[in-house]
This record gives sequence, structure tokens and C-alpha cells, in this order.
Amino acid sequence: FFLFASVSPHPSRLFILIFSFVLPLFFCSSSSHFYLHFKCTQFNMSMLSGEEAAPLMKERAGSLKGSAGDANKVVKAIASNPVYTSDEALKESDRKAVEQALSTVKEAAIDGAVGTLSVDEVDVLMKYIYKLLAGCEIESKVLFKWHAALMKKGGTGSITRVLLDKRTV
Amino acid sequence: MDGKRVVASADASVLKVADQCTCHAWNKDRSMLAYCPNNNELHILVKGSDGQWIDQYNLKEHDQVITSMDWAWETNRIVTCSMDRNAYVWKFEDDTWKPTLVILRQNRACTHVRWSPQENKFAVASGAKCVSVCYFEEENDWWVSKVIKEDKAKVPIFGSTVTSVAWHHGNILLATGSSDNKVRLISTAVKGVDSKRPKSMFGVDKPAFGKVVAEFESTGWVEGLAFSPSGATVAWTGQDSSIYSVDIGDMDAPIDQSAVQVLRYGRVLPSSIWWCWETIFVNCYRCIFNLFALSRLSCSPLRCILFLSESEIVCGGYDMTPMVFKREKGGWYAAKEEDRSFFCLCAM
Repeated sequence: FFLFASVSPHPSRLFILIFSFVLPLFFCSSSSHFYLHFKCTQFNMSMLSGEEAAPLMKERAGSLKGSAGDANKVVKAIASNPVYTSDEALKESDRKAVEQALSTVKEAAIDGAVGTLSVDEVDVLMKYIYKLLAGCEIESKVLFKWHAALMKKGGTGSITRVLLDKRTV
Repeated sequence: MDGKRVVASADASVLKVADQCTCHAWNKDRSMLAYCPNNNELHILVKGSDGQWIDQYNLKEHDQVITSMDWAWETNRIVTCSMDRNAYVWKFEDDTWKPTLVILRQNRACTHVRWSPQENKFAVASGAKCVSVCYFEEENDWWVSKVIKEDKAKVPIFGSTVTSVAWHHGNILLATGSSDNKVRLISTAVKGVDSKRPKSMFGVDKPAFGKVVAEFESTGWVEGLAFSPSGATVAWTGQDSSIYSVDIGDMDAPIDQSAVQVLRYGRVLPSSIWWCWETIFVNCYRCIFNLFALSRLSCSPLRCILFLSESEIVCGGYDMTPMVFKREKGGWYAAKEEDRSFFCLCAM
């Protein structure tokens, strides 16, 4: 577009060239830029929409199914790369998949599996434990065992982050 | 905050003053201690010659609980702010403390108050989603307040209660922490009080009063907020049991040259090279990320923070014990148990 305009400096085309500089001014300035010169967004706090999250959720469900039986693989599949979305249907299917995967882990393997997680992963898994405790279709005894193991690793800090983080699972 | 403070060091002593204390402030030589026992009274303890603390003054001027107070060390004034939406500046004259009411023009409780380093201004944070910066007007012999609430486009700056304020040593930059999970650095240059406006602040030319020059996000409400002694780092604790810090460096220089320049040019680039703008935009976030340190802790949330040195902070919170953290490997880690004096806790 600009090459075209620069090749033939006709008056009307010059007007288009100038106009193309002026018009974006009205579109790229948003109200947030009026007062702020420097904005730093460390965290992606936005929740994905249904369409964006669907393929990621599918991938997640696949990896959860594939990891069934192996405790370390299950917790890694649940806790790494969580998908935060506002679509309730996707969240429900994710919850079911996580519940299914957790039920394949033996109680004796819980402590070892939790020990392999990083701080952020412990927070994510804690979010799921609380979600499952709220739904509680399976027995809560084993969920409380998970909760105790995660508390040992993450402390009360992981619980405060479950309560305060707006990115819910 | 409980009046009892149990500390692990041999240099410390426990002073039980009341069943509950909402806030306290020391004077310059630590011979006097002002506190509020969770009611509308301001008590001032004076250390006698025998080392015992005497409850010398009981000042009742506020109507409701005093939420925060600060003692200006050089000019020997105390400022208190309370849930009754007022602030008083107390001056010691003729053996008594005389209060001066400051009209803050806030319609919600005040949460936090701090004197500026040169003690000619103080900032009051409030539940009315605003910060009042007050300065003394000689002609009328009273304290005037300027409210930071909206920007030039009448867009509200704060999304929620402002929970804490911290001053940069240059007397102009004010950090505010809010329960909308953000820390904002705001310019408070007041004509007549600040001798000269800074030429630039993070790349902003001559920022006016109330101009937000930087904004940082966290995932929890901001509880305690502090600048490091040199002003190069701002650190805060969140209600999500985390410690955050950002290296803002020398205020005169922009945080990152390329970052600030891009954000300025971002408004005049033609849409045909929009993609270029976005690529650079992403890069500017990336270089800022290196300056940002976040430590997710396993303890209960920390409510107050204080810098002991450039790389050491002490925090106190719901675990009922002060904790010292050291800056190592890009994060804040608990320092080893050492016999260190908690003398510096006085300012908390």
C-alpha cells in the first residue's frame, strides 16, 4: 500500500498516504494508554474462551488418559500447563478426567508423586483437589490424603493461592 | 496485630502494651513509642531514665479506630489516620501533643499513612479507591490534600481499596499497593512544595501530579510495600503468601530504554506495520520479566515488609513470627537462623 503510494506522488494519493498515518492514531490508542506509560503484565490473567481452550483441553485429556497408573506421570499431566478457561462445560469434562486419573494412583504412591512437583505445580494440583472436594462424587478419604501430602510440600501458602488466584480450574 | 511480639534474638525484648495493637511508630532515637490499642486513642509511651516505659500521653481526638500512624523523625510530628475518614497531624508544643485536622475529602476509611522522606508531604491510602497526598500551605496555616483518584481521561486509577503506600527517597515517586492486585508508581510532584519537578521518570517527561508512571501486577492483594534504601527495588508481599520485587533501577533512566520508547511510539505507528509493533511489544515484556522476582512461599500471608539492606528484607504476617529473606538467584529465600537484632522492626 505504501509502496504504491510512494511510487506515484499524485496529490490524491498523497492524501491517502497522510490519512493512513493519521487514521491509526484514532484506533490504536485505548483509554489505558492515556494515563499509563509503562504497564507490566507478569501474569496472563485472562481466561481463555471456549474455542481457544477446546484443543488444549483435548490434548490435556489425552495426556491424562495416557498417564493412568503411573503416579508421577499422572500428577505431572494434571499439574503442568493448566488450561484456564471460562467455559464451564470444558471445565467439567476436565474435572472428570482429572478425577479418573487420580483414582488410578495408589495411596502409597501419593507422597512420592507430590515430591516430584515444583512450587507452581503444587499450587495447581491443590486447586484441583479443592475442586474435587467441592464436587465430591468419589470418596473424600483419598482426596484428604492428597491434601495432606500437598500441605506437607506447599504449606498454607499453597492454600491461600487457591483461594485468591482468579485463574480457577 | 497482637501486642506480644516473640522474637528469637537475644537482643530483643518483649513489651506487652495492650491486648491488641493496630499500628505503632517509633520516634527518631527510639525513646518514645506511639501506638493505638485497637480503639480511637493514641497512646505515647516514653522511656524513663530507669529503662521502664511510661504511658505518658493518651490522646483522644479520633472517633474510630486508628488504622495507621507514622512519626516524622526530623520535624517530630506524628500523623494518624483512622476509620473515621480523617487524619490528624500531631505537634509537640508546651508539653502536650496538639492535633491539627486534615481535610482528606475521602468518604471511606483510611488504611495507611506515611510521611514523605523530606517530611513536607504525607500520603493517606483509603478504602475510597484513592490516595490523598497532603502538604502544608503556609498562607492559610493548614494542611491541604490533593486526591489521586482518576487520570486525565476521568478513568479511575484504582480498582479497589488502596492498602499501602511507600515513598521513594526522592520525595516524589509514590508506590501504592491495592487490593485489585496491582502496585502502581505514581508521581506526586506538587507545585510549591517540590522544588523542581524531575525532568523525566521512567521515560515520562515532567510527570504531573497523579500520573501513573508504572504498574505491576500480582496474583493476590498487596499487603506490605517497601522501597529498598537506594530506591532501586520495590518489593511487596501479597495475600497469596508471595513476595514480589521489581528492579526499577535509577528513576531518572527509563526502566528499559527500548520498552518505554516502543510504548510511546506505539500510538503513532501506522497500522501497516502493526505486526512490528506487536513483536517489539512482546519483547518489552520479556526484558522486564528479567527484572521481576517472585517467591511463592509456603507460610501464611505476610502483612508487612521492611528492607534491612539492599538484598535483605524482614517480613511479618499471619505466622506470628518475623522472617528474614535474602535476595539470591533471582528470588527471595529465607535467610539462615542467625542471631540478628530485630532493631529495625521498629518501623513496621
